[in-house]
Amino acid sequence: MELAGAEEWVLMAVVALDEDAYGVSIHDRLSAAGAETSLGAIYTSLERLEQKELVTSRLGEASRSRGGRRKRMYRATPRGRKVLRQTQAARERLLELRPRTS
Amino acid sequence: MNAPRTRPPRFATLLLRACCTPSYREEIEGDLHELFERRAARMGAARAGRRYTLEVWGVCLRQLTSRAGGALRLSRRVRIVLGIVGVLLTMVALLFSSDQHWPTIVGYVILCGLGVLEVLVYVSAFLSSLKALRQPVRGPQPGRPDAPRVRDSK
Repeated sequence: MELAGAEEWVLMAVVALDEDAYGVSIHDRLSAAGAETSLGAIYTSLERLEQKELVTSRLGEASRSRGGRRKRMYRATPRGRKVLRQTQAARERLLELRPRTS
Repeated sequence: MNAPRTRPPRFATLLLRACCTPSYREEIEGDLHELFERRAARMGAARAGRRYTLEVWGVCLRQLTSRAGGALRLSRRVRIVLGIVGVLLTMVALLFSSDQHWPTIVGYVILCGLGVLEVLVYVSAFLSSLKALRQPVRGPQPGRPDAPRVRDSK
């Protein structure tokens, strides 16, 4: 299965955050990793990942700092983790194929 | 003395509500609100409000281009052009951002135009699906394979 660039980043963040993955925490994690992405791009990627059944979501609790609105918590499915591993393995294999300059 | 503004810009919030998918509206609004509160504490309410407006633009443009693009079956190239227009608008707003400034108003007008376009697309898709339902089915009938008939040549 193909994963677009932003989708891979977002899926990695969801896997890394485990139980605490939602819009803002994913945004923070990506910014901390030096891959700053807009919230709009994150939502689009999450929507696509959910359509591909690579992540699942559920509504969390509301809080005052969110103006009384609930969070949507995301979690990677076993299939999502597998696709991520496959993508990363493919990338590593590709890197091994580059010519050695030393 | 005026109390500091602790709420995100109202017009931007209304715009967000108008163009977001209803199933994702609550969490997107909540996320943007959370970021606004955090930024307001760090950099002041005015700057946080401007960032909030920009984020709303980004979310709305992505939502509208992806939904209208899907409905219109626009090519990837057209979607990319729409995306570039969105980025340029955001850059202009970043340079001259203020709620009363003309680039913001132009941006809002364009977003509203995209919204109207999307509604027209959905209405025409609905009407054409109704028309398709009224037409009699012309496919192969049960028990009769859809193959050309061959006359017996005895």
